[in-house]
Amino acid sequence: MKDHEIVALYCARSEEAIKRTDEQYGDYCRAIASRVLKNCEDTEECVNDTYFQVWNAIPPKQPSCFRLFIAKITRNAALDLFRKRHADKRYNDQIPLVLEELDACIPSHVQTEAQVDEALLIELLDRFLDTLPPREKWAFSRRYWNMDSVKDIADRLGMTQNYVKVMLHRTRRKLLAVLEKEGFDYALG
Amino acid sequence: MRSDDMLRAIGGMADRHIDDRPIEDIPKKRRMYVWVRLAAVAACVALLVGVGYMVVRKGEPAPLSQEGTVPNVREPSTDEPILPVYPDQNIAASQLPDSTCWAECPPVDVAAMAHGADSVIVADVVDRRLELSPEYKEHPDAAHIFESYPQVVVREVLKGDLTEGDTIFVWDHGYYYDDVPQTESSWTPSGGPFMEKGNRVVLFLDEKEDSRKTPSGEDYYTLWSSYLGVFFLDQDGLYHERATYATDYAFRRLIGPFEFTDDEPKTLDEIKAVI
Repeated sequence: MKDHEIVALYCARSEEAIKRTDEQYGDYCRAIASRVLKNCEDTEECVNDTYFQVWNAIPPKQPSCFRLFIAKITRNAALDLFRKRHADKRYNDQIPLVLEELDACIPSHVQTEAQVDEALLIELLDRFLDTLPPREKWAFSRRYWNMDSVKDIADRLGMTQNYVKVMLHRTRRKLLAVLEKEGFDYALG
Repeated sequence: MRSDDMLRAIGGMADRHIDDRPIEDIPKKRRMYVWVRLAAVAACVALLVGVGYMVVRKGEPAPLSQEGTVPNVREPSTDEPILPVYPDQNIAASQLPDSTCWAECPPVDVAAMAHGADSVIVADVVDRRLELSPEYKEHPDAAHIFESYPQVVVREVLKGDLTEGDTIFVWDHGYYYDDVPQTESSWTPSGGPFMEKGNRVVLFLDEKEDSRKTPSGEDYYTLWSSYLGVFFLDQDGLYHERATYATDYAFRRLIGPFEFTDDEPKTLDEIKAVI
């Protein structure tokens, strides 16, 4: 079944949509969730939560790329579940590292509990990523979207881990500069 | 905002930035070996040196010998008979060639030069006049091609009618493009120096002809054989004939009848003894 046909089922509020989604993207969603959660039960819970969120999102949303739409929802659902469980050492060891690294690109005066306008932040991120060289962008995306290990990224790029770490460090510094330049404190909600 | 928020925002970034393939599905790239990097660095250095050399050379004119830049000048070849450049030189009869083929012409030495020259002097080069070459007046770059006329002061007369203290012009072999010596042209053998201000030289000169004038109307002398006939004093007090500096095989063929083979440096006394 084509993606637009699945979306049409959601729009028609047909429960067949979830069944078709699971057939088409069940394994895909499980792979994304398990990368974060490293636990079968939690992965299954995450995937079910994903379907539920997709059911609530469409309509009104009409995703142009259903596969990535569902991937993003799965990733964030997995992160939410991770936060609930993160005290447990069984969970993905990459997440704390990724969070620690991302701390470095947040301006100090906005490192608060205050909420940010996520839409603005995403827009800024997209603009920032558009300015990066392809390899740098790919490494950033793989590290912070897919949460791949530095070793995996280095292997795929044919570089040393140290080189990738330095490249990511420079990218984060650039992002920090952009956030400061854009006066991101105004985006605080 | 905390890193959690950033991580969540990254989750919402545009599809175009996302590669959602499982990492296992992405082929590993072989890491570049150290020697490959070193080779790349070496290649870059070579490229930089090459580009730098081209940039430096860019300001200089093309050598006159480049094909197409000098009309009516060609290199002699060994497979055809070519007339000697100066068949009327006053060489000893025993040294005159039977054939006009360059390859069969005998070499010369200091004795032959002294015998053939009308004047032999020790002189100091005090100036150098560059005059537009009438020989290249039809050339597209005629406004840039100069002949060299060093001005010398006679210090000692070893042969001939010149007197000590005379100041004369000499037509020197070689051309200049503006003020850049064309050291690799067909008419300027590679390696041989031009007479420059400050040189002390021994000159073997032809008789001055009243009909010969520089383009600006000055009298001048020519060197015996045009190219041979000048010894340069080095810092050790020894004199070297110019031909011994030349490194160009084409030149060797060009001056075939007068090729200088007595290439040991000489003291002034040794030159005087021969004369």
